[in-house]
Amino acid sequence: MKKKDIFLLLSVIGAAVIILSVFAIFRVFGDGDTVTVSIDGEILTELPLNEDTEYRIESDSGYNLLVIKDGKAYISEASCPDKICVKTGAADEITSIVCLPNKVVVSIEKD
Amino acid sequence: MKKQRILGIISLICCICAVLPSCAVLKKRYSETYLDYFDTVTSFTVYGVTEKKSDAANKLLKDELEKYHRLFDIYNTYNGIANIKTINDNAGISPVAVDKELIEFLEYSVYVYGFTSGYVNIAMGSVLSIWHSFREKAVNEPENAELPNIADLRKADLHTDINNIVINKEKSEVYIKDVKTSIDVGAVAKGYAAQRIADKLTDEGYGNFVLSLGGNIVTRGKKENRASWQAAIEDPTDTSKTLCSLSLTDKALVTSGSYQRYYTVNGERYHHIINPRTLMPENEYLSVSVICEDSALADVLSTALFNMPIEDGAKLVSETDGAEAMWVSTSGEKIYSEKFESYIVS
Repeated sequence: MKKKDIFLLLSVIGAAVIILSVFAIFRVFGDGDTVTVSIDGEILTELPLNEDTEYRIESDSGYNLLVIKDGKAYISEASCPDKICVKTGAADEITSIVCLPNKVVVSIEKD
Repeated sequence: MKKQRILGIISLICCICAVLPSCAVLKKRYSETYLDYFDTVTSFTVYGVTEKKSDAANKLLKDELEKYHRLFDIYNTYNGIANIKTINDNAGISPVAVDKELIEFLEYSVYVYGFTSGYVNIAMGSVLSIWHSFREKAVNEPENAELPNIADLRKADLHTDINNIVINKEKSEVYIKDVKTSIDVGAVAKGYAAQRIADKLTDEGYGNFVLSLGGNIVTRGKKENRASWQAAIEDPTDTSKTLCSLSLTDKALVTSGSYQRYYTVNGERYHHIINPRTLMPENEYLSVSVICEDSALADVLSTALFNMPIEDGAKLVSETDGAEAMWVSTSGEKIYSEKFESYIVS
């Protein structure tokens, strides 16, 4: 009887481990980080961080040029007077790029 | 017996699989950014709550941000609210009945005048509004950027006596005696609001969050894996880089800096932190960061230290319980108060 109990216990643990591994694997094999662009709180678009591209963000008050290159997302050009968004450099999981006059937020979401 | 066993095993597996992912859901963090308050960026990250609770936290935060934004506004009035602009509009005319919260805030601001030997003076509106209009003009027409006339600044300075602000606590009224005096709360408002809002969130049961109200950072509790919240200080000479990261538990961090809000005349920068003694922006430092338990005090100190001679500033910090500071001079040199470096993690 003892052997059977141990066997059952191990099977239960084994099954749980397999199911959890499935969850973990799906995360590891995910799509990669996402660059989220929003204007005035509304999401405009989501772009993959691992695909180089240039995206012109048009807002009511002007524009911001978003560049995604070599796994970095930054604003290269903007219509705002202060260019704080340009000077911020690349966004990462803790630092978002904000252009207050154009109400633009560029943030990185980890997969 | 076999059937029971099988059923038992299946239920156990189901329980484990149900519980573990829910744990993952619970230990999540939710972040939001707000662009409509205090003419700056507010960001908020709350940890260790469900999505529903984080929505409630953000609703509370948004309401509180709007409340203080309107109460401390010196440029707009709002239906049904007597705010700072209302008081300013009635200078030399009549007392204004205001909410108890505004009385408390103004009393705090008057106290702060003495505490900083006048380096933080909310009665400086007449001088600051001149600088504000010249800066606004320069932002819209950089080719026509000009400096205000020092004689005009000195004339305006005749109306910056803190005693011109008369606070009647019992009647909950504020009266500005001098028609040319106006209140400008830029040096205190964000830090004070951040503190009040953080306390409100804590009262409502949110124990783990980081709030940044235009760079006035308040941390409460911890984040994932019981780790401390961390905040980085921007390099004022290159804002794509950071000077250091600080580990902060139940502390506030405020930085006053000259490198964002400024305008240029003949190649020289003129920023927004005006020295009450010289009536000009000073260029001794690029930024001053203060760590303190209270965000209002941190905001006040960072503004005061920006203009105070370093010996006086260092003395004020050492006399203030729990306060630490870092000055970044124009040459890039970093000066620390006694225990500031103990917060640095990288």
